[in-house]
Amino acid sequence: MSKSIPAGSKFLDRNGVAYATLSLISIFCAIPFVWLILASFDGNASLFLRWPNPWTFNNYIGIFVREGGARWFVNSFVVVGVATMIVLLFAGLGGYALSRMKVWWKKPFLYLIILVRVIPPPALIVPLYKILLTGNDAVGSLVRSVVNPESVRPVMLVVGLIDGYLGLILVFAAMQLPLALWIMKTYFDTIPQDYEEAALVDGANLMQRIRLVIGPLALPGLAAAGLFAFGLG
Amino acid sequence: MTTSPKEKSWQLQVLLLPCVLLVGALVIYPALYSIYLSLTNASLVGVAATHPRFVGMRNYLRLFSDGEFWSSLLVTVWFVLGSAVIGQFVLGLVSAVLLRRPLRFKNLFNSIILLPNAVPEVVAGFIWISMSAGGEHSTLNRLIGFLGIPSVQWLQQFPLAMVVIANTWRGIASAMILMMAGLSAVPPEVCEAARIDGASSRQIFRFITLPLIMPTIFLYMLVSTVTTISIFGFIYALTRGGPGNATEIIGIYIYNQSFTAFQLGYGAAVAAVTLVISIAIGLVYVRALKVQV
Repeated sequence: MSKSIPAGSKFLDRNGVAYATLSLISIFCAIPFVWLILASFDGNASLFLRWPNPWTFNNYIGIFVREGGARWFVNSFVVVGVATMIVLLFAGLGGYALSRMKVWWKKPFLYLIILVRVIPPPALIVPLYKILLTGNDAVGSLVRSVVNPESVRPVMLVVGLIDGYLGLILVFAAMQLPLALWIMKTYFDTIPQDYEEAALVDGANLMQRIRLVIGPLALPGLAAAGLFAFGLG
Repeated sequence: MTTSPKEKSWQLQVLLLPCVLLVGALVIYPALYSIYLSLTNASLVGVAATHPRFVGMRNYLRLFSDGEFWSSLLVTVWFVLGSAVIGQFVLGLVSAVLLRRPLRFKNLFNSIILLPNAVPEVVAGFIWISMSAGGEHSTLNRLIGFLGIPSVQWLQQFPLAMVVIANTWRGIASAMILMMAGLSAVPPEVCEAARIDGASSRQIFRFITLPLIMPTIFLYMLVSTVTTISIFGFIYALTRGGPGNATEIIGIYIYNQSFTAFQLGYGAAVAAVTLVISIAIGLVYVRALKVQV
């Protein structure tokens, strides 16, 4: 008790250093945003930092009125949203399978897919375009043989792999899938198999087990995986 | 009625099938195709664009005598060392350690440090162009103007250092998050016991906390090193590898070879070598992790 005063002053002193250090790091992190915010309200913004003159909301309004801002946001939400749903569905099922199955290629597969985070992106541009083009041609000939000629273009906008959402969605999903698979596999490793076995004994088939037992149990893991896929996409 | 083990395994493989198809078609196949390209003289223009010829290891042999490739590799080494291994790690660890204290404004500090992580890489590139623009009115020059230092052409005079600083800025948050997770796994009783034994805070950190979070540190180093090697978009938005080749990290070099010089095959060879280097570094870290744990 008698030492409480010196100890307290030392505490304050050490926290002073902590505050100073954290403030410096925070300033370093925040300063680049100052220009971003000021320039966004500036009628004549340039690369230079200055007080907005004139102050205006025109830039914000302009995004949606003059430019196709709403369109850009819709594009992003459609692409990232659908890609995330695909990732969650595929990674949920696949992660469960990877956690429960005992096959020799399980480990090689898991390590192979994590390589996606290491490949330099420019190296994938041409191969990806080639495979999407091949897929697009295949889908195109299929569509032409099924629907009447004048509705080929609108249909291709939806199911085509190039010049539409679908190709981009699939590429995004494929890029995020490995990490999500790892997260879900590790997550399912922590869930005891007893739940499924109890359901099995009660006579539930695979679809029922997934829908009623495994799915609800997987929700926290899916939330984490979805956050990663959505944030990084 | 009951599902036999064999049937169960078959069902599980069906569940995994969508993942295998998607990753196989859009990740593994393109990667293999890229390796095939590296063995040809494939190009974006001319005869080689439609009829690439198989040239064996010629691209790889050329690579070893290509001075630009080696200088790009050296730039990448400085870039990774400066930003991922030192900058992000030190600042992230310091923030994580300090934010464990019961400070006022703790959440404010925390969220400010997390902010840069939420910026898309292209936007981050433009933000830093304005930060470091020449002329006395750019943000950095105004800051040093307060100290009476004449303005500097940051991206012309210190290109590599600026790129390292900018990338550090982007990555402090991810380092901090990982370090916080590692620190929260350190049992408080151990530190308490050491404190009772008379250890100072510095000693506790040096001899107890640090060894206990070593596995986390190695994990962070593994992830940040290999992802920083393959960075492309951020630097492309910020400097496009310039001025000259001063910030031409390996991702930019691959892009320039493939899409500016149109030598797809050669670019693919550079990418393959980069991939091998990344995997080698990854294996070293994994080995170190096993020793530590």
